[in-house]
Amino acid sequence: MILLVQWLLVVAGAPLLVGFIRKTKARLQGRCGANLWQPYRDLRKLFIKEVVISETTSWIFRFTPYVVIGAMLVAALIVPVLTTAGGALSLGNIVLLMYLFLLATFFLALAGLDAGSSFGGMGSSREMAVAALAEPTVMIAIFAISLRAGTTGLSDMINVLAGDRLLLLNPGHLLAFFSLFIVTLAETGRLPVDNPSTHLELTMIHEAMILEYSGRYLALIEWASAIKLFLFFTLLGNIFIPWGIGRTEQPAAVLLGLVALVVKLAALGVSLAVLETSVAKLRLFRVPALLTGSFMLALLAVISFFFLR
Amino acid sequence: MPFGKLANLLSFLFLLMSFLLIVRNSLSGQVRMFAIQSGILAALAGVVALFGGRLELFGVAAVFAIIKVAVIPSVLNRTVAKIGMQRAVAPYLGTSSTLAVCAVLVIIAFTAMAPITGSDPLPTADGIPLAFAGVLIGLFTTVNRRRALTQILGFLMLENSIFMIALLATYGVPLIVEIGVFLDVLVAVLILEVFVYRIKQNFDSIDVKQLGVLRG
Amino acid sequence: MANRISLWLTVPLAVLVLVGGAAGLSGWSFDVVLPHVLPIGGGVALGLDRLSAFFLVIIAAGVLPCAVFAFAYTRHQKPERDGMTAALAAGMSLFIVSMACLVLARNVLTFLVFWEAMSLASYFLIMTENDRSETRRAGWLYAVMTHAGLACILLGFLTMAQSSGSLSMTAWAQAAAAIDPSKRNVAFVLVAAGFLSKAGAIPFHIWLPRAHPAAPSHISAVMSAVMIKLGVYGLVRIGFEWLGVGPRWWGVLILLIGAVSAVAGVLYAIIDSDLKRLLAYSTVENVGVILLGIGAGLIFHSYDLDSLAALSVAAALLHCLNHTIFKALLFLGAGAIVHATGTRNIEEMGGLLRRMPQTGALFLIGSLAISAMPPLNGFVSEWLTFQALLLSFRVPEQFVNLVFAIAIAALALTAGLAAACFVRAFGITFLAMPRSECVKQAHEVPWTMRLSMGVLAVLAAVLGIAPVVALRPLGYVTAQLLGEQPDLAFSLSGVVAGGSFAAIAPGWVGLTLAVVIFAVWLGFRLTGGSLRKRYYDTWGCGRAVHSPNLEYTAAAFANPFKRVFAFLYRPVTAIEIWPHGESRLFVKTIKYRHESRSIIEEGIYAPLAAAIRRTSARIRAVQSGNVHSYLLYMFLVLVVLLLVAK
Repeated sequence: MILLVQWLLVVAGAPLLVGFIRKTKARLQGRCGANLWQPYRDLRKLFIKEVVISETTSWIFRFTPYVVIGAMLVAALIVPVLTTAGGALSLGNIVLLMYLFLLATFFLALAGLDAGSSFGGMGSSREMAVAALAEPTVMIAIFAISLRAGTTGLSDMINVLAGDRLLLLNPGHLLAFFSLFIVTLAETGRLPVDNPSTHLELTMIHEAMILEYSGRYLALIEWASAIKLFLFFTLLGNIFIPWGIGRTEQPAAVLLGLVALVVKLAALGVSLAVLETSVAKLRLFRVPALLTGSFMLALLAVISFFFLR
Repeated sequence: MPFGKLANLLSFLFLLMSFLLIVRNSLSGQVRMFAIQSGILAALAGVVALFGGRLELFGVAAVFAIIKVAVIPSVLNRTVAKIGMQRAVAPYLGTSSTLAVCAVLVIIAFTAMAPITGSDPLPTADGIPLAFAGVLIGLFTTVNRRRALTQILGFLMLENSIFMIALLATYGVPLIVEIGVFLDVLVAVLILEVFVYRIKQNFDSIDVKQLGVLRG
Repeated sequence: MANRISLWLTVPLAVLVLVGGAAGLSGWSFDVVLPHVLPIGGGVALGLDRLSAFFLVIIAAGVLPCAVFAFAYTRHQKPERDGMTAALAAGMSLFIVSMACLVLARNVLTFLVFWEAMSLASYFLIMTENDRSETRRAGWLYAVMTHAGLACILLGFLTMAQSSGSLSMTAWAQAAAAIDPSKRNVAFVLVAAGFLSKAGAIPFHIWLPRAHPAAPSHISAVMSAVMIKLGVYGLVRIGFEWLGVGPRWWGVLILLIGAVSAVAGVLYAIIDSDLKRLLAYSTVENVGVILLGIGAGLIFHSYDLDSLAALSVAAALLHCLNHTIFKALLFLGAGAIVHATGTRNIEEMGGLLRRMPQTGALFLIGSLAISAMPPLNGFVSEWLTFQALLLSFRVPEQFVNLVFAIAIAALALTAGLAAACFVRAFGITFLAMPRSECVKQAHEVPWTMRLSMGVLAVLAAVLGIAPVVALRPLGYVTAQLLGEQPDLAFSLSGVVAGGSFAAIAPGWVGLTLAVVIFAVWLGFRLTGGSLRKRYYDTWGCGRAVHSPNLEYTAAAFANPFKRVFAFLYRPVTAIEIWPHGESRLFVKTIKYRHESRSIIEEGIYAPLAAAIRRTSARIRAVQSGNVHSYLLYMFLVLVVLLLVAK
C-alpha cells in the first residue's frame, strides 16, 4: 500500500520538481517564469498531439519510449522515498538502479541513431561518452557509501547511516555527496554538462538524441527524464541526509517522511537552479575533466574511510 | 567525538581547496581559492585552540586570518590587476592528468605518514597525511604551472600546509616562531610582488618558461 | 554434401561432451590412468571432477550452436572448396575432442599433448580460407604465440615436477606446502603467462584481433567462446589447486592484468570498424572481467577468506559461461551479416534491421547481454563480480583495499564503454539507412543459422532471469575447489551476496519491466488518445534530399572516445589537400587520415621481433652452406666432448 503511494508520488510529482526548478531559475534570472504546473500542461499537450515518425526508423524507435519509461518506473519502485520499511520493492540494490538508468540510456542512444540524421548520431555518441565516463565515479561513490553503511541495499543503507549522529562531519560522506551531485548533473543532462533548454542542435547532448520524437512518445521520454531527476535527488537527499525519512509503516512516520522529502527536494532544486544560473555550459571536451574531478572526490572519500578510522 | 571529526573535516576541505587551486586557470580565481584555504586553516586553528585548550592559538588564528586571508590576497590581487590581461598559458599537464597526479600524491602522503599517524596520540593526528599531501601538491603546483604568480601561490600553499602539520601534530609551535614565520612570508610576498611586476614589464609575460633564454 | 558430414560428426561429439558435463556436475566423477597408451611420463591420466564438468558444459554450449550454424554457412561454398569443408569437419572434431580431453587431463603429459592438439586443430581451422595473405599472417602469428605460451607452460610444469618429484598435478597439490615458495612463484608466473596468452589477456592478446577476423565466423565463435576459456581453466587450476595457496601478489598481479585488459580491450573495440575484430577486442575485455574475479579470488584465498574467494570464483566462472553464450551469439550474428552482405566493414552497413529482422533482433539480444543490461545474463555475472570486489573491505590491509578500488573503477568504466561500443556496433550496422550497395541487397539468412542464434538468445535470457540454474552447480564447483560454498544465498528468483550486503532478484526485475512496459502500451491502446501516426522524412534542417551521406558514421560515433583516450591510441593524423590548378583557393580533393596505433605492439612486440631478427641474422652466419665448415663443426664438437667427458 505504502509502496503504491510512494510510487505514485514519484511518478506524479516528477514534473512538479522540474517546474519548480524552472520557476526558481526564472526568478533568479529576473524573469517571471512559467507556471509551476506548466510541465503537466506540456505533457498533456504532447499526449494528444499527432505522432510523426521518420520513414528511416525501425521498430526500435517506437519501442524505445516504452523501455525508457519502463526502466524509470521500475527504478521508482526500488528507491525508498517516504519510508524504508515496506516502501520499496527489494528487487535489487543500488547497483541495479544504476544499470537500469544505463539501460534507458542504451535504448535512447539506439533511437538517436535510428533516424539516420547527423544530430541523432551526435547526441547518441556524446551521451554514451558522458555516461561511460560517469560510471567509475558512481561505482567508487557507491563503494565509499557501502564502506560506511556495510551494505548496498538501499533501505538498509539509509537505516544504518541514520544511526550515525555525526555523519555530516565525516569528510568521506561529504566528498561522496559532491561527487554524486556532479554525476547527477551529468546523467540528467543539466548545466554545466548539458543545457536542457537549448535549441541549438550542435550544443545538445540529450536533446539531440530525442530530436525526432513527437507526440506521446516525446511525452513518455520527457516524463522519464523528470522521474530520473526526481530519483537522483531523492537518492542524494535520503542517503546523504538520512534523517526524516520514515522507518516504519506508521502513517505518522510516512507523513514526516513526506515533509522531509519536500524540504530536501526543494533545497536540492534551489541549489541546482542557483548552479545553473551561475555557470556556463562546458565545452564538450572539458566535460571529461569535470568527471575526472568528481572521480577524484569519490576516490578521496574511499581513501578517507580506509585511512581515517 | 566531534573534535577529531571536525578537525578531519576541515583538513579535507583544506585539501579540496588545493585541488581547486591547481586546476583553475584564472589568476584571481586562484587567489580566491588561496584566501578560502587560509580561512579554513584559521578556523582549524580556532577549533584546536577551543578543544585543545591552547588559548594562544586564538591569537595565532587571528593573526593568520588577518595576514593570509586579508593582507596577502589583497596584495596578490593588486599584482593581478597591475599585470592586466595576458594570454592564457597552459600548464605542463592537462586537467585530468593533473588530478590523477594529485590523487597519486595523496596516496603517497598517506603511505608515507602512516607510521607517524599511528604513533601520535592526539585526536587531530589523522589529518597529518592530508596536510602532507597539501605540501606535495603545493610543490607540484610550482612544478606544473608556468606563470610566476601561480608558482608563488604554490609556495604559499606549501607554507600553509607546513603550518597545518605543526598544528595537527603538536597543537602548534611556540608563538614567537609563528610570528617570525608570518613576517617572513609577508615580506617575501611583498618583494615577489614587485619582482613579478618588473618581470612582466621587461618580458611582457610572466610565463616562467621564457626565462629559459637566460642561459650560459 | 561435405557440410552434412561435418554436421553429423561434430554435433554428436558436442552432445556427448554436454552429457559428460551434465553428469559431472550432478556428482559423477572418474579417474583413469592408461599407462600403455603413452609409455612415458606416467601415461595418459584422465579424470572428471566438478570444475572439469563445468568447463565441459561450456565447451558444449559453445560448440553445438556453431556446428549447426556451420551447416548452412558452408553449404553455399563453391564445389572446389568441398575438400576444404571436409577438412574443416575433421579439424572441428579434433578440436572438440582435444578441448574436452584437456579439461579432463590429470598429468603433465596428457595436458600438454591435448593442449598442442587443440592449438594445431585451431591453427588449421583459422587457415581455412588461406588464399588470403591476411589469413596466412594471422595464422602464423597465432602459431607463434600459442607455442610461446606452450613453452612457458612446459617450463612452469617442469619446475613444479622437479620440485615435487611427480608428473601428476594432484600430487603437486598435496606436496605444495613443502615446496620452496620461490619455485612455486616461478612456476606460477611461467604457467600463468602461458595461460594468459591463450586467454587473450593484455599484453599477450595480439593474436586475437588478427585471428578472429581471418577465420570463418563459426570458427571465430568457437575460438572466442570456448578456446579462450581453457586459458581461464588453466589459471583457475594453478591458482587454486595445483600450486597450493599462493601469496597475495599472485592475485594482485592477475587483478591488475584483468583491469588493464578490460579497459584497453573495450577501448580498442570502440574504435574498430571491422565487425569481427571489434568482437575480438570485446573478448579481450570480457577476459579482463573474468580475470578481475579470479584475481580477487586469489587475493581472498591468500587471506583465508575462503567464502569470499568462492564468491569471486563463482562470479568469474559464471561470466565465463555467460560470455560463451553471448559471444557465440554475436559472432554467429556477424557471420550471418557477412554471409548476407559480403562485407565485414560496419561503415558500409546500415538498415539491416529491415532486411534481416530476426538476425537483427537476436544480435540486439546479444548486444544487450554483453553490455550487462538487466534482465539478461551478462548483468548477473557482472553484478556478482561487482559485489565480490565491493566486499573487499573485509581484507584488513590498506594497500590491497586501494588496489580493489582501482579494480572497481576499471570494471565500472568497462561497463559504460562496453555499452557505448555495442550501441555503436548494433546501431551503425542495423539501424537507419544502408550505406552501400551490397548491403541494400541483403536478405535474411537460412533458418538453421537463425535457429542456432535463437537457442543462444534463449539461453541468455534464461540464465539472466534464473541464474540459480548456473549458480547452484557453481556452488559445488567452488566447494570442491576451495572447500567452501560461495557467500551467496539464492532461491529461484533471487540472489543475496555477502550476508546482507547485496541482494538482487533478476527474475522479478525482468518480470516487472515486462509488466510495466505492457501496461503502458495497453494504457495507450485503451484510452484511445490520438493513435494517428504520420510517416515523414527525418528532420535535417530543411535540406531537400535525405541521403545516407548524412548519417552518422562509425568513426564519428567513436570520436569523443578517440579524443578523451588519445593517450592510449596515440593517433597519427595527416591531411593532404589538392587544390585546382587555376587557384589555390578552390579545393579539388582532401584526404584525411587518422590512424590509431597500438602502443603494445609498437612498444613491446616490434622491438622484440626486431631483436630476434637481428640475433637470428647473426646466427645464420653459422649456416654457411660450405661442407668443409660443417665437417669442421662436427670435428670441433667431438674434440670438446672428449675433453669434457674425461
